[in-house]
Amino acid sequence: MTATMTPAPPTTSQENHRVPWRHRQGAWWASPALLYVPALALMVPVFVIPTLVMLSLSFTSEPGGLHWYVQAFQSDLVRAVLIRSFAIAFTVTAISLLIGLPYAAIARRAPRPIANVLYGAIAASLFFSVIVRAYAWLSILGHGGPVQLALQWLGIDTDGLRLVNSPFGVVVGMVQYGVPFMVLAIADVMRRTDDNLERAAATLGSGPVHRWIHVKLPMLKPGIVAGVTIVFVTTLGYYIIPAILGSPREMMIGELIGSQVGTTLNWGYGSALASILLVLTGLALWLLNLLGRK
Amino acid sequence: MTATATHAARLELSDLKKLYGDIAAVEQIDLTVEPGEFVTLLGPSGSGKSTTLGMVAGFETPTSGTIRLGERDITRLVTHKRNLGMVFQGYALFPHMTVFENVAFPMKLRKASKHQTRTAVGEALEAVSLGHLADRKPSQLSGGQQQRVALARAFVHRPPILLMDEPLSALDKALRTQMRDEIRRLHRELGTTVLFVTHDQEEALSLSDRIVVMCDGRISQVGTPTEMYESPQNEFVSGFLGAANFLSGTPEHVAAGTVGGVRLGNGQRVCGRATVDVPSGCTARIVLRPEDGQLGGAPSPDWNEFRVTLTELVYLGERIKATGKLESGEELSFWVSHHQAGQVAIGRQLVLSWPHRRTVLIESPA
Repeated sequence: MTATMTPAPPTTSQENHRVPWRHRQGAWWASPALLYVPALALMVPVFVIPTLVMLSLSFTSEPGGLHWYVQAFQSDLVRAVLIRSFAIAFTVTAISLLIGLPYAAIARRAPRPIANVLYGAIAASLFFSVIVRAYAWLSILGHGGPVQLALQWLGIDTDGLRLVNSPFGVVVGMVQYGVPFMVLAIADVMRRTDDNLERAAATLGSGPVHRWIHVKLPMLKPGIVAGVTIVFVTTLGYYIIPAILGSPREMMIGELIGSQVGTTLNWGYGSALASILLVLTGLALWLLNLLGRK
Repeated sequence: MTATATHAARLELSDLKKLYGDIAAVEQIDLTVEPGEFVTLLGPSGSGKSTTLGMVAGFETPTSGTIRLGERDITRLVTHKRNLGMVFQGYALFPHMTVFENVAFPMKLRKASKHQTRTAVGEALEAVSLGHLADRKPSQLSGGQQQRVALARAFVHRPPILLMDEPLSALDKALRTQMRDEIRRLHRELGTTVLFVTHDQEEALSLSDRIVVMCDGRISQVGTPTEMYESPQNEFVSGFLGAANFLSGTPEHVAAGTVGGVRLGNGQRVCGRATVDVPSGCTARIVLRPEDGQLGGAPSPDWNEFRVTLTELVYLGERIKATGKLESGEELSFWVSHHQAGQVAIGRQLVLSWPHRRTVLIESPA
């Protein structure tokens, strides 16, 4: 054993062949870049290629060129749908933030058992399929549902009220979808903040409101920006919830694309709309990222 | 100076008590910190020193008792209305603000003008020699620099009292000594009242006008560093401040402040100075500091002699720690300087002596 450990010159040709590899700056199979391979193997066929196919379809489908884009930009419907989508996404994000921020703050301060229930509720809501949750809202808010009956019992006229199959229904469903992500993003940052910062601010004369605005909120900004980004971007292009809880007369961009591709089989128009959504989403991401850095 | 001119205030804690459920975290705290005085709460973790500071800061509400700061009763006042300055162990600087903005924070809250703020912040940062780093973010500073910013932020508005919660514990040893000197200089220049919390006896001894040693939620003893070190009144204080050897014996009645005798188990009579009344029926503790011991027999009649067999030698660099066993089995540790190293060897019989004046007698708790 000791004999083979001495760095004697290799004798056989096989060993001779192996030596140069060892003396290189690290073998090719040890390169950290290889760690990307599994992710790439998954993402290229299931994400990158379909996206490229979609993008190219928007230019190549008959009659080709920029035809579908010109049609989209000239359409009043598309403009209305896009504005509605942005308005709903904005509303949903704002409401999710208004619910999520205090929720995370309360869960952080709550004693152990209550905190477990609060965080548990958030985690549990992620276990249920979005479709199930959307249909649940349909029966809760829909015709003859408990909410309508309760309103009638209170003497409120519910005939003109459209709680589902309306933008209101979409906002309710999407807020329920968005709040858990908002809470998780904010709670993560909150857990890492130093409680002594607020105490320090208090000793220097800063009251509860001033502390929230000048100490707590700036510290939570990364979490808030992350939560807002996730909720806004997903809401903007969401398909299932608007399809179930919305109305065809007031659709969002996701449904419009769905109907072009699924119902009228107009792939060119559908993929042009999808590409516009992709660019607008990218723009929103860029703006939010800019906001987060500042 | 330029900032809101507040004078150093007196802090009075009377019969303060804090219960957590049935357990008293702190009780029977009576303490007056005079205006401009630097008082340290010293004790091991769980001794109640941080809870006491927390009640002064308003983070905890006392179960009973009162806290007065200057003319005001602040026992139940919310923290932000107490007009304090506080330094935390983990710096607690606002990460999203620059050094200047951090230090300007209390000034802005006090509606100081732009000019006033700039002058006060400039002076505070100069006082901690950080004027050139005003535009940095805290994350770009070293630990020592961050703690100096925290100090500047705590005194920029001239609060009537400065609270410090183990401000040096997060720093490495060299920096700690440097910061200690800086805090002492700042206290001299500012003249504010300071309530300082630490578990480090060296910090307490070197910084304080008075030290309050706490143990199990109560005050064990209060006094100047010299009094605390040279005249500890109980075993806890003797052992917590500095190193100490303890021997047991039966005393003659010795009144506090006088020198009297104690008979050891083998009949030997040892003389020492009592810091509390030591009645004749009790068990006395004899406290001997290692650094007061001398190799060799008593040079004059007012020294106690002990015969020991050397059992252990530990080389500590600056000196050697030697431990010898008495006939009774009790151990005595003492320091040996390098030029005496030839006189000691494990197993050797030695005579050691301690002066009466530096032999302390206390009553044993048991």
